[in-house]
Amino acid sequence: MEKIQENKDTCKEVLSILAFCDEEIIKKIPTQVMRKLMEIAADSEESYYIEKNKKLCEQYITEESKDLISLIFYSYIADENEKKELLDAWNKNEDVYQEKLREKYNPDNIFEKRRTTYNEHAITNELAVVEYKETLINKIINKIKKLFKIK
Amino acid sequence: MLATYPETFDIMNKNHIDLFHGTKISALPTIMRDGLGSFDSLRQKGTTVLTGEEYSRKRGRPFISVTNDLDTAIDYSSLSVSGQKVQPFGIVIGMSSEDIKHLRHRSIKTDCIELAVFDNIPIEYIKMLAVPEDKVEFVRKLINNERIAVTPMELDVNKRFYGWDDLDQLIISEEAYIERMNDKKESKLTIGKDDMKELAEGRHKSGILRMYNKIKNMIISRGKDNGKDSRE
Repeated sequence: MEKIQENKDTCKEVLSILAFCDEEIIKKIPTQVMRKLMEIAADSEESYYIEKNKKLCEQYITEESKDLISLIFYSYIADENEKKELLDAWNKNEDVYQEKLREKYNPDNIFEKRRTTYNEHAITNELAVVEYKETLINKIINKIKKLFKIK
Repeated sequence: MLATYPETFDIMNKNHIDLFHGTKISALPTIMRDGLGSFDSLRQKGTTVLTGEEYSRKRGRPFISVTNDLDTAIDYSSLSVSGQKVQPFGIVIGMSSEDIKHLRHRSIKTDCIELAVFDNIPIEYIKMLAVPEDKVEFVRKLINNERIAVTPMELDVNKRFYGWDDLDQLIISEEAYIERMNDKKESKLTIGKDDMKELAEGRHKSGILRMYNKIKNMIISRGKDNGKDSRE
């Protein structure tokens, strides 16, 4: 199961990422936001590192931190066109995400799956050829019947 | 430093900054909240010590190590993790011996000359944070404290182009200077707008909204902001 990151650690991880950001990006983020991130991060006891040769998308970053970085990008760095593009992308991704969740957790699908399994089992049972096995006593009885020509 | 960052030298001169402590940026949030604490005092408070000082980690030290040797402080700030993983950058904290003399302290000699400060150093005593040139804006915003000067300083010992000979004469290596200037032009690990956009495009709406509400609630619950936002 995926670990849910605590807020203080998310803020610390995001600050570690922002520390590598272009100065132009930092200039656009309001001081109060940075300050607040730092206040919250002060409670964190985690240390975060970055892989030197990897792009931001390829870095190992928690899902929470990715969301917070995206939120900061949308709120303070993106221009109007980029905001529209992002909203479209987020809505589209949301549909895909919800569809995946529905597939995973939809009770109808779960029952449907069970029912199918049950039916398949029933059909298999119905059509199965049952092998007749003659027991030892039956063999003896049958031999006696043959001997006295009893049908 | 006088040659590369004269403004930093001026700030140190004007504010009588003559004691330094080198650490990593990851320690800054806690320092800006609690001031500088010794390894032992942080451990007693249950705070995990995140940076440097392997010696302190192994043996525990009931004091904060400061030095009047800027190079030693820079060495501490430059300690890096091996391999491909890196922490953002180092910082050198500047203080004045005029302030520190009010705290319990003693000169000690380990493998370098240190001043052991036995009390915690309050944030009011921190007068300067020296950081790499391209991180000045970031740290200024982060601390948002006009009383503390954030100034540029070359913290990578490998890029230092000056030194001293046996007679304490300053020597400048032209070769190292040119190398350093070329290195400044090279692209470093820098995250740009396109990188952030690429990351953001892969997210979905409910995750973003969940994060927005989490941050808003956190700010409200800390009682330092009303959490109202026109973008809501």
